[in-house]
Amino acid sequence: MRCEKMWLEQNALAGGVDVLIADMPGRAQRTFGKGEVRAKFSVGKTRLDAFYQEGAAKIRIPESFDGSMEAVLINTSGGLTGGDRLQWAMTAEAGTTLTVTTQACEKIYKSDSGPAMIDSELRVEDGARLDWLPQETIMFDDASLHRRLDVDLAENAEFLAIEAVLLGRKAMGEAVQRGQFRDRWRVRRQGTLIHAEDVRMTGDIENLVSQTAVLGGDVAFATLLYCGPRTEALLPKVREALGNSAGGASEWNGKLVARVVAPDGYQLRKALFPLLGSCGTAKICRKSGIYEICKL
Amino acid sequence: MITITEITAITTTTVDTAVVSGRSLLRLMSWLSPAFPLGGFAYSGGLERAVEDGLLKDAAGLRAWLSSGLAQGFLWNDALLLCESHRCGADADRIAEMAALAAALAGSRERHAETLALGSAFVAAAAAWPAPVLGELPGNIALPVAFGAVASAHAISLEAACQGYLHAQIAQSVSAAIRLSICGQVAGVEVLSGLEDAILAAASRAAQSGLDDLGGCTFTADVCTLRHETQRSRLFRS
Repeated sequence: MRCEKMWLEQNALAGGVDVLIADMPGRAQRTFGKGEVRAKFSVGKTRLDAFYQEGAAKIRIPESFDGSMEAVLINTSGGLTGGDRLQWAMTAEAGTTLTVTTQACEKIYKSDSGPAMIDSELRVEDGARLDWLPQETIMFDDASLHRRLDVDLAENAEFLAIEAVLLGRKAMGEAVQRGQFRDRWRVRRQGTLIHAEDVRMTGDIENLVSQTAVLGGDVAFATLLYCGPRTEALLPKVREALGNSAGGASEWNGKLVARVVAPDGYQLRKALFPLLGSCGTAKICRKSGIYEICKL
Repeated sequence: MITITEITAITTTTVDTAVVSGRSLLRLMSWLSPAFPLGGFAYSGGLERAVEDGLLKDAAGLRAWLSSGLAQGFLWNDALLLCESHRCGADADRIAEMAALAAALAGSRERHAETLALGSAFVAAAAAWPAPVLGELPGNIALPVAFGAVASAHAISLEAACQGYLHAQIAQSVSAAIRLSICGQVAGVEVLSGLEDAILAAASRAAQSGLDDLGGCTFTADVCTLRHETQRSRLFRS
């Protein structure tokens, strides 16, 4: 509101109210993007079966030489704010290996009009593996994000997902005081719900973050989920990779869950790189440059 | 000179919408008593690891930890699941859905084992108060779902059931904390009394919320439940 008032005053002085009114907060055009990839197994490798992109959602498929496929999701709007909406749908058909990542961290900016929404639907068929490895989501002050991840797994499908969130960027002196973050995962195998995650952080984020049971002053956190036949074999490796970081891992009922809390984005990446490596994805990550330590 | 001082006593009275008496009261007291054969004393819900990692050191820390759990953590989700299961009434399909959701939401092997073991034990012990719903509950049922469904079958009000349940969970945690030498009996009881408002607020909010409001952000507490699995010497199963 203060911003808006100042803006009006400035424009009144400049006499250009009518000309610039389209740029006023609340009138901004909303971003919409929708992207879909369907991978099929054919002649010994994973190939593109269907591809769709609309609006701000773009997808790049870099050339691959190991029989797998990588899809890089791009939001060309450069960040999301209230009312923006992104929808992704990824299908790994039987026998395929598909890794989905993002070109950049998703930045969620101050919202004037409701939450930004990101809905992702993933489908993994028999004998296929899908790795969902988006880069970190960065929430700025007063940002609002509702995110959904719906996953359908066939009986023998393998799935790995990681979602990492930074509340502001400490190194840049950007703290989050208020905001809203909701993240809902529903993972089903053959139609039966096998895993659910619900993160809900609303209102006075600064106060929440300071609570010992919440983040104890840290601002970065991540959740990793693996569903598949190798949970028991992976658990010791994942625990070793976690080392002395403030994280933990567990496996039960055909799934493995690891959670990490870190003081900032840099420390989180340092913890996540070996963690992803322990799940057999580091090579792919390095190739696309996602988990190279970069300035956050 | 005469000074007249007027003292106005301001008493804040919380309007208690969940007045329970008679059989409902007796049943709630039985089901939530530490003597009810659930075996809840064997679990700490990650508290033991929080103590081991130096995150919990005294009664004040315990109170803050549990208060986070009530407002935006494991206890908040339990409260919502309880209320939603209570609303299912005798709808066995919806109760089964709630049971599946509660099991899927459990954040670690130990939390999953804890809530399912306590849920089954609750259903078995509640058989002393016959109700048709008992025969229709799924085999794997988390404690808050079982509690909500059974309370509903006995026409115990949703809010009272939720308040009582949360209080019992907090009491269980305080008892665990005393055994972990975080605080003594007196300080423990003070935590219990100090958290009354937080318990009532969480129960009242849960009673007015739906499944869309599920979710919390006690990330560090969730990490503790995971890390408890690898703790060398321990008193508790979670």
